[in-house]
Parts: sequence; structure tokens; C-alpha cells
Amino acid sequence: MKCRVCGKPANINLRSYKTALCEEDFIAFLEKRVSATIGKYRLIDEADRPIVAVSGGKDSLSLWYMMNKLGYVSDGIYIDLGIEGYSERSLEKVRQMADTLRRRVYVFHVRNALQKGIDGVARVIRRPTCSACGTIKRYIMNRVCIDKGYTVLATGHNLDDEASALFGNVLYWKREYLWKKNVVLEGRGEHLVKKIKPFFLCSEREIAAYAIMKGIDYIYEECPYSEGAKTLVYKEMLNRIEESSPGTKIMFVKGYLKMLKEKGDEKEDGRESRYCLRCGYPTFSDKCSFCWLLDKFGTEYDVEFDQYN
Amino acid sequence: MLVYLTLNVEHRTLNRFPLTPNGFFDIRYTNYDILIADSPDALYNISFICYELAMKVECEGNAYSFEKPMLASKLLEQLSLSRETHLVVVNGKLVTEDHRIDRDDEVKLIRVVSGG
Ligand SMILES: [Zn+2]
Ligand SMILES: [Zn+2]
Repeated sequence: MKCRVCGKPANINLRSYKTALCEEDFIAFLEKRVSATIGKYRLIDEADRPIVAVSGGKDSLSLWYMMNKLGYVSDGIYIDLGIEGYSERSLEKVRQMADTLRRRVYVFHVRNALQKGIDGVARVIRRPTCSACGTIKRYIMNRVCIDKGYTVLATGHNLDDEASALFGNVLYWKREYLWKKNVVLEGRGEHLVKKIKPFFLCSEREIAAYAIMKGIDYIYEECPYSEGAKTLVYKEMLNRIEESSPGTKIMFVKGYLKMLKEKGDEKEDGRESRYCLRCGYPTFSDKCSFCWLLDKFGTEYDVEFDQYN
Repeated sequence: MLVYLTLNVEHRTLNRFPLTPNGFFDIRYTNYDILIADSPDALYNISFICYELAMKVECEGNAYSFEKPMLASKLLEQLSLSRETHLVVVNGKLVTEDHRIDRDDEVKLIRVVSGG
């Protein structure tokens, strides 16, 4: 196979775009798509100070790398869940990238805040590990922006993440979640930061290829508590469809975005939005779920971040 | 490069063993010494053939060996992997499905799917 742009031997075949590209031209092709996504959906303004949520995986590290390369100078936030081995190994990859980019990374240690790793935290509050993890991550990622003056939080969600979530929401007709996914979620006042997903239209395969070509050293292993079994089944099904009908995933997600736009902004679910009396985070009661968690553990902990420059 | 030794008895290949780095293999871990001791006649029909494998393939911590060179697409097929979920990296470079993998090539298959 030859590169469609320069005729040299191709390094990747992109069946959904009916093209094959060499390393150099593929990198340009993918970066252009991300730039276009950032422009079209107005993800980042010139005055913005973006920060990237990094886990050590291929998506977040590639996103951090690419954003800085495209001129969106950004620092990183890493949440240390206190999982033996796994957390240290992923933090190491994050630090490596911070060194490469010469950017700062903030580190929040769950163990410092709650004296337990995420599995222990989940056990105390009798919730699944992934659900406790989600609560803490959402809160801390928002909090670092508020405390340190970042105006946009970027996450590495990719096309396959979005397509599989959408697939699940459609299968079970989860109307309350169906229209919530978007490339951008606007912030609210000074308490909720704007969230963006610049890789919304980039497949996992493309991002992994980018990481390999750029020599980005990421963690392959999955979180040992990952409860993504259902997600993996959806991804598998979608990839099987993709194999026989290339381009299905991107059409599915682009079609969703088009319908979302046509649908317009319907009013929220009617519940009055309030703010946590203690920290100001949006909540539906007096206290947000993170402050509730701190109380449950009886800590007077004030959220702190380690900085690694 | 991996060097293998096959043990042939009565013109049948009984098994093959990877050689240790200094060129030995340990017959204590096989049962064939018993076979040899029980039937001295068979000794005449025992032969060892030494050969090199064409390629070494690494995939999610597992190592596979293939004796013949083949196309990247064929390799994925042999391991029942989809081109949508696995990338083929040969000597550190990504290749397309129609790439012919040669002897001595070092191959890595990278799974691109991660859990939610
Ligand atoms: Zn080219
Ligand atoms: Zn709160």
C-alpha cells in the first residue's frame, strides 16, 4: 500500500477514510482533524488556560502531547488512586511526559485525603469502585481548575468511547443520559469549569497509531478495578461492524452530534441547581458528594495538590 | 534469534525444544530418555534437527513463533485478531496489512482497545 499523499510505503490503512498514509502524512492528517474539532466546536479560546486530565494511558498522554504541539500550551492533572503498583507505574509515565513537554503536572493523592486507596474508599461507602472513582475524579479535576486558575479541562475521550456509550444508551433507551454527551460541556459561573473532548472524532486505533509513531510511552495495563466489561462488549461489537462496513463508527457519532444540534438546547431536567454550601461545587442538595465523602471519613482535609514541574 | 531443536524418533518428530542461550537443552525435562533406555534399537533412529524460527511475535505479554514469513494480514488471521483492534508493528514501525513480514523481523501486535 502506498501513501495517498506522497507515494511512499504507507504505515496505516484508514478504511473509514478510504485512504492509506505514511507516518508523516498520518500525523499531519490526525492533528488537522483535532485542530478542526477545536475550531469548529470552539473548544479553546485564545484567552483560555487549558489543563489536560492525564491517566498515563494512550489517549490522555497523546492528547497532552498533541495539544502542546498544536500551540495549546497546557499543564496536566493526575489523580493518584492509591492502587498498588498500577498507580505508581501510571504516574511514572505521566512524569515522563511532563519532562518531555516541560510542563507542570498536579498530582492529587486519594490516600492523603482519605487515608485509603480507592478500593478501600469504595468499600466504606458501599459503592462500586468505579463509581467512587468517578465521583472523586470529576470533583478533583474541576477543583484543580478553580483553585489554580485553569479555564478549560480537556479529557482524552475518543470516538470509540463515545460510540460505545451512545450504543449502550440507545440499546437500553436511557433517555436521561442519551443527549448529555457532547464535544464540549460549558462551564457554569465560577464553580464549574468548561470541559472539552478534542479526540471526540478520533478512533482508538488512530490515537494508538499516533502514540506509537510519536514514541509516546504509555501504560498498556488496565486499571485492576475496571468494570468496563459492558463497554468492552459494545466496543467489540462496533469494531466488528466497522470491520465489515468501514466508517460506521464515525457516521454514528457524527449523526448523533447533528441530531443534538437540531434538537437544540432543551431545558435541564427541571431539578433546581444549587451549590455546595461548603465548597461551591454544583449539587442537588446542600453538600456535594465529595464533601459528603470527606465528612464520612471524618477528615478536615483541605484539597491539596502536589506539583511536579 | 530463537534456535530450536527437534527430537525425531523413528522418523517422527516427537517434540521441539528451545535451546538455552549456550546451546543446550535439558533432556531431564523430557520423558524421552526412558524411551531410549527401554529400546536400545531405537537409538539408531533418533535424530536431532536444529533450525531457526523465522519470526518472533509479541502480543499482550505472550510470545509466539512462526516458522514461515507471511503477510501482516495473515498473521492477524492466524491469531484470530481483527485489523480494527490490533496494530502491527514491525521493527518499531507501523505497517499496513499487505506488508510482508520477513525472517528475523521483530513483530509486536498492539491492542488498541481500552476499557471504559
Ligand atoms: Zn506520505
Ligand atoms: Zn462540596
